[in-house]
Amino acid sequence: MFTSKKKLQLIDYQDSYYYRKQRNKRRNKWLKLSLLVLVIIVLVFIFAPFAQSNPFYLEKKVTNENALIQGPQLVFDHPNPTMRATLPIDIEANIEINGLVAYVEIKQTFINPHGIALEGKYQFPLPENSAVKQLIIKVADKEIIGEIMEKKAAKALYQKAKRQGKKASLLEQHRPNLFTNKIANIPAQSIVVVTLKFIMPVSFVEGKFNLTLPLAMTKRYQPKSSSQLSNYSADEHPEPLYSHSKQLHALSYPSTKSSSFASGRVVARSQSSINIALNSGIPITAIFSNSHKIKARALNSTQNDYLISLNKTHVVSNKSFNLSWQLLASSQPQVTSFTQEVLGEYYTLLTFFPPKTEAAKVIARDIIFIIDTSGSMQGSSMKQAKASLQLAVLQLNNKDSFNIIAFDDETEILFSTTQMASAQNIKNALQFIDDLSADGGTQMYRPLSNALMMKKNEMQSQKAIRQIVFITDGAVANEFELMQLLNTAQGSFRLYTVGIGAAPNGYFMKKAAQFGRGSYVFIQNQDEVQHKMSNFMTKISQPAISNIKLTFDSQVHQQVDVYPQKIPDLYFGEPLQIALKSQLPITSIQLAGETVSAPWYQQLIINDSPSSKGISSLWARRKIESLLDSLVVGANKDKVRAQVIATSLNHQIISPYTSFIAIEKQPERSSLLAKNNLSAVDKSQRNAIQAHESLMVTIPKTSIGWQLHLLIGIALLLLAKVGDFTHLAHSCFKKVSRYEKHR
Amino acid sequence: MKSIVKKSLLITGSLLCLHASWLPAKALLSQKLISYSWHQTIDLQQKIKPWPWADTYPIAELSFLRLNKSIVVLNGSDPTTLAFSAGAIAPFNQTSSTQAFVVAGHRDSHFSFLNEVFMKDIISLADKHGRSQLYQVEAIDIIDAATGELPVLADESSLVLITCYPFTNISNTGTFTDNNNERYVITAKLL
Repeated sequence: MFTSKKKLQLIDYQDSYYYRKQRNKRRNKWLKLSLLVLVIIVLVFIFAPFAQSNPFYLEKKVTNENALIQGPQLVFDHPNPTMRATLPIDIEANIEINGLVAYVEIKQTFINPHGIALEGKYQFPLPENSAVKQLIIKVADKEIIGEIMEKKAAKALYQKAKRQGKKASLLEQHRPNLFTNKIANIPAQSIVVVTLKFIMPVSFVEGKFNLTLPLAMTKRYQPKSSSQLSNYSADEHPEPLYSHSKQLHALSYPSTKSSSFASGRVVARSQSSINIALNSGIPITAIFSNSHKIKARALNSTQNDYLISLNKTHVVSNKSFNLSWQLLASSQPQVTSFTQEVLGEYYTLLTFFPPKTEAAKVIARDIIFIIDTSGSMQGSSMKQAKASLQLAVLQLNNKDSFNIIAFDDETEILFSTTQMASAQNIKNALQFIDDLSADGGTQMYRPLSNALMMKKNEMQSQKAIRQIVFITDGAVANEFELMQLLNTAQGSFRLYTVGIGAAPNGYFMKKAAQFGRGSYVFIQNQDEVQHKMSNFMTKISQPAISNIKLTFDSQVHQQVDVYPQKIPDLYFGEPLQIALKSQLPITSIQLAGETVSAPWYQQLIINDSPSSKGISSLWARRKIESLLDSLVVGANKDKVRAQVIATSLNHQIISPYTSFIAIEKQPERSSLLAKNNLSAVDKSQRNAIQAHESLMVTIPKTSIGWQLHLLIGIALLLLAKVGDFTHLAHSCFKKVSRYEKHR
Repeated sequence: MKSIVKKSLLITGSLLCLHASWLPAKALLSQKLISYSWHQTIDLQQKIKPWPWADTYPIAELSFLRLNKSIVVLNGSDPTTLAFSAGAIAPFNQTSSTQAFVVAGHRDSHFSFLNEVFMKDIISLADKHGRSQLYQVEAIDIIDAATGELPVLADESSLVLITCYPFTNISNTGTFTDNNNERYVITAKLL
């Protein structure tokens, strides 16, 4: 550009200057115009959403008001939004913990603090993986009972209530982990008592047990107009149902007598309490609550039976209740058992606790990695998958043999048979992984069957376990086919799945691992690769006990239903639960398996222990799961359905074929206990509500974020333009001054 | 020297602009192909990929009656699929009247109009047999997606639409801020 300008300068100074100016002007005009248009377009793009979204803010807030619910609450249909939500004034929780199962019964007392009768909505944030067994709501003159019923029956009942012109349009379950139920017409100043029974799992991580219950509760209820309240009480009831605040304080924690106090009537007396019967089955220590002050009393000297209650001087505060306890470490695997008798059948839960990790005892493995390189893995998923695989390969030790299969719609194999993990082979493998790129379709059947059939390296010992590690996002269409392949595959192998990316197909991952007697791990982003993958590889390299077998006295126990039917291995840091059903109480079980160094054997004697709640529910849950899985293998659909419904109703555990339905009815003084009586259910009903089974869905990333890049690009363009201007101005100034001088 | 700086600024600027407009452009252009393959899917009653190397296929069409907008939903919710259109998340990718149907889409391309959806709006979902079901918006929630998972009622006939929130945020989650982990979730019930 410069040279050309100079040339022009030499030929005809004045002319060229003029032309240049003109040219510059023209160019500037064009550039300016295009830039202007671009800027306007971009600005419109960026600001249009701003302009649109403003007016909706209010509405969003209203619908979003109950986004974060920490504990049970009753939301009134009050005209003033700020006065809607109320927390319970009283909570009474009775929890029975058996090993890793908690049976929870929570009684919450709410009050309608308003001077008018209102409609309310009861909400309870259910802990993850919990199952509601029963719900009872008592309001002044009515009772709502929620139970599990067959879907058809529930629907018919619901329709009937609707036809009778009752408020049945209240099908209400926006968020599945939030248990909700509508209560119509709660009289002013009246009391609502909600009893909820559910079972939930206790989490166990590295020897530490943890239980968290959402029990947020309001401070003592202080009516603003206590005189009005007492007036009301005095008018309506000879004995005030709910007395004013002074009396309330006096009555706080009236010890155990309170139950007789409240004889026959439900009264909110703020006797908030949490009582826990903790029966761990094995010695534990360090019972502690992060959230509340508790008292733990040992019931015997074996360190496994405790009674825990809240410290009386401590008020239930406005947060979730948290309890943790610690396993007394042992060098041997430990097995606990709990038994429950239901209708003449005996349910036993065996929980295996792994020993404390011993380092450097590793089994020899014949391990095959399958990596998905299909188009759906493109981008960050592929990066994570490659990083995971590289990490896994580097963690192999010299006793292991391995191979890698990469597949999209074609299959690519590193070695023809598995090879020992020598330095050279690992180097080759890393190179192979490095060259992988994501493209094409997904044909999963062939690589999987390849891996199942592949020959073992001759140098590998006979004992080495075949492990298949499947790294994929699980975007497959033929899930059932794959499961069938896994289910019918011969030989002893373990399949592990590594789910990659923001939205791996969780169902496939879990089920494939279950059919392959292995386990699974999910890696959501790059930061997790290192940590999760190395933990996972360590875990699968050292099962604490593998090939677990249970043997019963076959003469006494003709038929024992064991779930899961394919017993997985016990890994370090993870307990294993097995649920059994038998016709007669089981008194002894022989347990056999293999540890790294030697065979493992244990005779488990089960004493006549008191019945433990929740065990049969757990067994039923496992049975339903197993029945549904059998559909995959081609079981008769109707038969399975009938069995699932029967199990579900017997044990009051929700299934795909049953619903949780809550029906309101007027109390019948004569037959309060006739809640199972269908005729009682038939009379009644102002509303019916269903609750549902819920599944977790992985949330994908849903923004591209292109606007920012565009903005930066435009800023740069502008900057260049500005530079252009200054440059021009500078050169013009120079020219002009030179021109002046020339003159 | 200056001209080099200027040129490099110009080049990087225009490259960035190009790069930024690549995804939305792709999103826009592919719509043609996708809607063509969707019509073919209905006509021929089989899975038709929008382009031969695609890893997905159209499974349903959402129409927002009040907004006069419609979008073809692809199967799957991996980033590649979402770059082209809204995608149904497995296992809720079956258009049946007894199961939930969950769709995710980019807030800055296909699902940018979701913030114009109001309560009680009617959404129609057409399946590949040409049948359509009507849903009514029952809830609009903004949820924290930090856990990466959203619970969905498995056995209820509902339609769940997911996109990023806030709509007006310019940057992406991964690039600059880590705290916009919010999702805009619209739940509609079968009528």
